[in-house]
Amino acid sequence: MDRSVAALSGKPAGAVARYRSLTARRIGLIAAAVVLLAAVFVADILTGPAMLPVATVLDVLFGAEGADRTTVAIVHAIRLPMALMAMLVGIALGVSGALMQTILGNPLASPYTLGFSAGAGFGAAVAILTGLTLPLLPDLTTPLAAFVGAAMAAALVYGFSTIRGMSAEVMVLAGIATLFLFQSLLSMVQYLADPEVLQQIVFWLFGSMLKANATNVPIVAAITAVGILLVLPDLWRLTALRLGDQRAAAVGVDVTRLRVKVFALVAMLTAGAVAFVGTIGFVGLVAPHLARMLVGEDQRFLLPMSALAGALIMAGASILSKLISPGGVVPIGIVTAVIGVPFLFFLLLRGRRRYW
Amino acid sequence: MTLVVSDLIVSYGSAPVLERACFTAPRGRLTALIGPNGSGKSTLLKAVAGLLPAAGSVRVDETDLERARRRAEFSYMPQDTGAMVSLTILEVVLLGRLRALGWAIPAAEVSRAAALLDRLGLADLAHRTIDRVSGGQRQLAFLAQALFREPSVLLLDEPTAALDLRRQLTVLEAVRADAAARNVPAIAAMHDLTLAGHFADHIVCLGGRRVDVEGPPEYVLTRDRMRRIYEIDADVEVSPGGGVRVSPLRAL
Repeated sequence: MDRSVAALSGKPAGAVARYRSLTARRIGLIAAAVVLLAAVFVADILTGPAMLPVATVLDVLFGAEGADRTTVAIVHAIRLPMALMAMLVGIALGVSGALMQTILGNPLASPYTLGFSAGAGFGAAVAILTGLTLPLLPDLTTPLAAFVGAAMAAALVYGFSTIRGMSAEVMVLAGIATLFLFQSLLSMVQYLADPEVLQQIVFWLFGSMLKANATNVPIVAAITAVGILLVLPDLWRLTALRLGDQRAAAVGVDVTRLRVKVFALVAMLTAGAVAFVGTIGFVGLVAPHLARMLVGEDQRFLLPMSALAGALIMAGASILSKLISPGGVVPIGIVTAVIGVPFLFFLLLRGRRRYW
Repeated sequence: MTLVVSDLIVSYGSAPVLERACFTAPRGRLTALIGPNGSGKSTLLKAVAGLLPAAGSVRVDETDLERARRRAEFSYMPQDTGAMVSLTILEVVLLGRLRALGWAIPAAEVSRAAALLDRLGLADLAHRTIDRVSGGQRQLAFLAQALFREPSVLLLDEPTAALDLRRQLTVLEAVRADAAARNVPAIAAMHDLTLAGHFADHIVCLGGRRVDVEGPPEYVLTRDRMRRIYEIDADVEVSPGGGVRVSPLRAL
């Protein structure tokens, strides 16, 4: 160390300054994304089939007196919950996608890779098919069934993976088997369902923000917040995991424990996101790639940026879903899938640098 | 004042890889771990590092260290397995001190990491991502990471394997200097016996799933042992200025 002190005046000092400016740049990008999200969020509330004047909506939103009751009802009971739900689901899926790509070491991984959403879809479909309603919580029956379905899928993947040491490869294989299993079961339920029930099931499967309301938005917010808070202590370990299992273990990471913990959190976040609004594709795959391109692999920056990118994509898709067919709202799950794929191609082909 | 490994037993499934391996590694010195391919050098290092389940004991200064503690306090540098990720070399080095990292990284830590990179000749690559440097440069970056941990025992799996001659010397000198400066044992698995004969103070030779012999280079590196363990004919000379040169002649 004696020589290093003498050398501090030269190259290392430059390296420190450069690292500091790189960090400042990443924080700046995250701040910019927050500002952009705030703007898009307001724009999301301003658009809708009711074609309300912008000034009126802004008045209602910022608490001015004198707006008529219909406008107040539309803004507070429909548009605000929808916009909040879009943002929350985007955050949950963006974070889940980034975590999934990290623990599986795979750029194609998304919150849906391991069959959680297929499990949720199956659970919801069974609830709709059987007409099951919980005595005290009729509105929460289908979401709860979806949550249980996702938990079943997670338990299945976990069960198979532990037998073979919880490696990324085994988890992907077990996850894909689970995904196909629940998709087949879902097809079975759809085949058995009457036409009108089938329509309900299909409508549930298309992710749509129209299902958002004052009850389920806080629930999704709570699940998302808990999931994110629980992963925060592991950010450095997750960054180390990107170097590979062996190298992460060499710097003191208990790789299996980390993978199991994050796996459980992703299951929870994903189930929370899809249980109320249905399946929303590609956000969880695209958002982390966009974030990685902007702020790199350090998870202190990657995770917040993935959350913001997910929220931005969802808020943007939410606006589009209301503009595509005037007077109606296209299910947002269709919009995200349609814009997600070309966007992913664009990200991967852009520039000479590789981001994975 | 040494690392003492006693009766280390490691098996993969039912196949034993090491049977009752015993050896010592003195503080402040470089110990070379030698032996043919498949003799268990990597397994031994991983077991000592606490990364593999193993029977037996690992003691430092008479204290028996549990696996978890060894994982936390020792540094283990694996053989190059690639690392195709867009983390910068500086970030990779910083990850060595995982436990000390919080939301913000103290400037002192960053400058210590940068100084270490400078010492290993990587200062210009500090902000290059690890997936865009050569295999040898990657190897050096991970050596910097291992040193940055300031471990109580330094374990290196073929640290010079991917390196040109100059960098082989740079690495072994840096490892020796670090071990001496902090008075900790350093163990490096090595294939180049002449390099081991010149840089190591102590050599542990594996053969037949156990430690065949350990001692100073001139004691361990003999023609007879080259025949028995490595199955080669070799010229072995002790240099007048210290160190041993092994010149392989033919396979037996």
